[in-house]
Amino acid sequence: MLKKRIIGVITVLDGWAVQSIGYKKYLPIGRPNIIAENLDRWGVDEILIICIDRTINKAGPDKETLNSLSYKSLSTPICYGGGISTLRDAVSVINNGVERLLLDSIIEKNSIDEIFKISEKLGSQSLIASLPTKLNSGKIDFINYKNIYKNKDEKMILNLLKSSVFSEALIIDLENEGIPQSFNKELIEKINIPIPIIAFGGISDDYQVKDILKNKNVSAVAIGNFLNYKEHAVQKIRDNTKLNFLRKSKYRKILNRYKSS
Amino acid sequence: MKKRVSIIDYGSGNWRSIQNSFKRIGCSCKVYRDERSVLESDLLVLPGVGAFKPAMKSIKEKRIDKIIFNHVENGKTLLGICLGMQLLGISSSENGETRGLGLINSKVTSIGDQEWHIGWNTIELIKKDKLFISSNNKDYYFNHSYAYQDDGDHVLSITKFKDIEFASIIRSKNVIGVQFHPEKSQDSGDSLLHSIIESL
Repeated sequence: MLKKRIIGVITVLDGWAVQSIGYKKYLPIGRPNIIAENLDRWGVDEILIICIDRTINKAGPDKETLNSLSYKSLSTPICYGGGISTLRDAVSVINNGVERLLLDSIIEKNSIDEIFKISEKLGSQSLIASLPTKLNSGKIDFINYKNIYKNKDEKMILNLLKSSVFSEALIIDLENEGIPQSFNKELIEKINIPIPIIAFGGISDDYQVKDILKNKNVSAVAIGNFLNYKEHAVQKIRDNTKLNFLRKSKYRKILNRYKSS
Repeated sequence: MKKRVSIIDYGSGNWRSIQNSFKRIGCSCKVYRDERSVLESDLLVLPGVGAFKPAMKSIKEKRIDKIIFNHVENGKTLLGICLGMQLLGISSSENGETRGLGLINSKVTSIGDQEWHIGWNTIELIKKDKLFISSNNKDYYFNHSYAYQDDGDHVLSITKFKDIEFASIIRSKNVIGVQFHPEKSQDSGDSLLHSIIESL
């Protein structure tokens, strides 16, 4: 059986892992590669690195962070988002040891050709669409996170999701991101998109994870700082939720146990 | 004697992750830069993140196919990972029919319209193979939307997804393919790569 996933998210600002509160306030918490190493050791199903300043500053992918991750030799799949605006950016990130790409501001009308080029070269299985959302009078608004206003290209976004260029969508609860136990479940209940959903923003506790993952359209939950400051939090979620579609808790064996061959 | 491993970099592969995984199990490896580095290798790894057609085009343009064929003809082990496994087949229907390397007598097809098999899933051995016995019923990380069908003598294990089954490990003598990513499958993946290195 294909398991649903618990994804550890590391939000990066200016090379530092930060605790983000609604993408408005940030607190530095450490080096991203050290946090990634912990998540890897604790056995999360994927690690998602989101470098939030790279796209807005038109700085391209954060090569320094990617290189520092690569030196850690992590054995957990890595997804990366931030500053990817061309096929060249996308290929360079994959070549740095990343399995999947999270595309954010490139999802706009004048970049559609580039998205198709990336999907054709790297395959749609490698691409996740980043969709910050808000609930507005019972309706879902896609938000352009460059200016935090409603994205006017809603029809274009929906058409893009139907065209098989992305394999999953990261649905971000923008209003509740960084606030414990606050993810608005209505977002995933009301959204109507043809690809699996990764739920993110304000997910911190076992009961929420259980509740969200029971939705058949949800393939994963993404959890930020709530996983990072509690040791073995991911193991506890797995043990407490007792969901048969999650991987079982496993404590890693001693590292470097293999002799040189 | 230390085993020599080379990874082919054909432009869109995640060779760095694979290099790191061999480093984790105490085995150094080179990334393909020239023919000589491959000739000296006990194990050649064909990685893969990407789509079939551009990968095959790149392999042909860089004449890597000849190097792969020579390596296999010399009786040395070839390991294809994910897309690298698919490239070993006769052809793939991804973005139009494209010919593969033809080392495995099977075709790669879509697992379904708007279907992606992403995440951790179990492999079930359907044939005894000493190399993979310890992998049976373990979870590995998959990320693909095309696969070999589960028929043919070369299929060692299958994986179930919704109402379909596909080949997750294939082997034809010294040519091995895994649909999952051992380099990103934590302890299970490291253990499998270690077994392959020990068998060389």
